Amino acid sequence: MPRNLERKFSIKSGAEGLPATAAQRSRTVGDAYKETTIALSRIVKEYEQQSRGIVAAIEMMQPAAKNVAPAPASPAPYPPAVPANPYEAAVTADATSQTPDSLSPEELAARARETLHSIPATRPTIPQGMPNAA
Amino acid sequence: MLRSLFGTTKAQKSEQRRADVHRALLHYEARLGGELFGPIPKGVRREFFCLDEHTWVWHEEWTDEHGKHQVLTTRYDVRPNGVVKSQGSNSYQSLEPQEAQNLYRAVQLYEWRVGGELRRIAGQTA
Repeated sequence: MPRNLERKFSIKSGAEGLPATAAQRSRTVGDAYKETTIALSRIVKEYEQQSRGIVAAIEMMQPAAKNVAPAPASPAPYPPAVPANPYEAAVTADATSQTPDSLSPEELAARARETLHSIPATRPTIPQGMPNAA
Repeated sequence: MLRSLFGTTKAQKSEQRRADVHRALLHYEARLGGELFGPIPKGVRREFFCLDEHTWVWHEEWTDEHGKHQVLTTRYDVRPNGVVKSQGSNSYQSLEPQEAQNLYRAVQLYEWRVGGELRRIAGQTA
């Protein structure tokens, strides 16, 4: 018997109260244990089924995701920047072999002239039969 | 008349004694139950006990970081359709999965540890 209980209730008086109450409490605890574990095991099983259901749903989605054709590779997220002027365009076109820094100013000017000559006239021609706005 | 009066007094004493024993056992169970969760931190009072066939109580007292005394009593009610808990004046709530697992384990340990102790006391002087 625990000492604090032994001190509080002597064996003599305890014989009429403590063991009987302990036996009663023991039955109460036993009943509570049975009832609670039955209820909790049901709850725990429900949670397990729910989590299994979620896992199964995820697993079902995974093969479907694998069957989806991959998106075509995009060349670049954005179109390349358009040069602001022909001089720049000439320099950019030649950038694969020579960087602007490696060209002398004379060479750069020559490249720019060549490029300017190769670019067609950008002024639109007025279609015949259309009133001349000028 | 005197016999009747003495008889009533004796019955009252017996009833009072029974209530005292019951209370003392509950305190003892609560202390043992509180130890099921591992070492109790210093300054913390933890009790866990079976109140009756359908009720479990977890009581904790501690001092928070501001030095304020805190008390939390959680009551778990076992009902035919499940287990619910209530804390203070809050309404009943369902158990989280982890909490249900923890309570399940605590109840198993309680029956083994505290129930075993009660059976030992009951059988000792019976």
